[in-house]
Amino acid sequence: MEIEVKKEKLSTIETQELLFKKYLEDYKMRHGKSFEELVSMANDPRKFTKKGKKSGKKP
Amino acid sequence: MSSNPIEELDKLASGLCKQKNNPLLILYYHEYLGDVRWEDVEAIYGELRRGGFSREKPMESLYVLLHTFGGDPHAGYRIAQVIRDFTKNAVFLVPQYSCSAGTLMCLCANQIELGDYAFLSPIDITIERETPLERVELMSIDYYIEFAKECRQRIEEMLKRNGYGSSTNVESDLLCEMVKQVGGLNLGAFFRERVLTGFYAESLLLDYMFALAPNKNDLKNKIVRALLFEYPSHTFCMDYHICLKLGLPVKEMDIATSDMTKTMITLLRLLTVQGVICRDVSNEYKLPFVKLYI
Repeated sequence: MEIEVKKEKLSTIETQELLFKKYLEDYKMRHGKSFEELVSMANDPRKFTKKGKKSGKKP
Repeated sequence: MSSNPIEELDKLASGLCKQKNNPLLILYYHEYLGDVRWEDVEAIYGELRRGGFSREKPMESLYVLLHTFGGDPHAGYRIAQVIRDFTKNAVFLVPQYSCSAGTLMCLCANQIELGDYAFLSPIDITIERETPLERVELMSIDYYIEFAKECRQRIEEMLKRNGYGSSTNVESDLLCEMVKQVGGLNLGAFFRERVLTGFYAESLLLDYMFALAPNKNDLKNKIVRALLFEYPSHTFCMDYHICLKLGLPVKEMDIATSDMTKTMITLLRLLTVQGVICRDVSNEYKLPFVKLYI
């Protein structure tokens, strides 16, 4: 994460603009998924089992 | 009120900083579409760093003005830890309310100042499952278990009085029905989440709120028990009097500060309605207002 440390004092509106851009980027990147959903997707046991891998290869 | 609400807000926030002689962090969440999320941890961290502070260079004291109905307890805990990384002393200002995950965040404070008629809430969890019917407060389950127990006791007493045997299956029947309706796995998940929330609350109370109290373990046990098990519902209003009885380091704001902070909330609402702050990230989610005033 890039953080500007006291280079220039941001106004209240500028701070909110900065946050808005960051939140939008994150939202798009994560496809709107919550932290819980992302963790559970990353650790979905079906991804690591033989059965899951085989079925993943099916067209 | 000024024709430029953002200027008015900045003026009031800077005035409060001067009055308290310390920086002020405002965390405002939209009432309906704003909730505490893990993204906020990074946003708050970034704002504190932009202010020129770091873990190695913390503030002597920070005032945090908080307004939220709550959200993710994991995020609430992490936000509290981030705030405490940046300050040696923290005072939370609650002009109107700070519920659930917001209350959890307040547990990292050295002091909580409540505005007139402001309140906190218990930190019980509600989990939304597959269907809206499965949205259950864990406290409701506790009360249902108590209800089942009481039913059994009353029937047993009645049977005894009338000279019959003292055995009835009513308690197990009622509990089976609850498991059928809520789902055994859901129940397990609820109780696991509560253990986690309790763990977070304990950490914050011991490390910050009561770090120097000789009886910190007793205080911690009493508060966690009340916040998770004893209070009757998730929407139970813990006002100044109840917080004080519970043993939280709570104080009523003086009238001038109470009025000033409430006006700030009104301005934040106005700015949200005008679309200046708390803009839509999606149709169902608005970002919070985060700003550090020095």
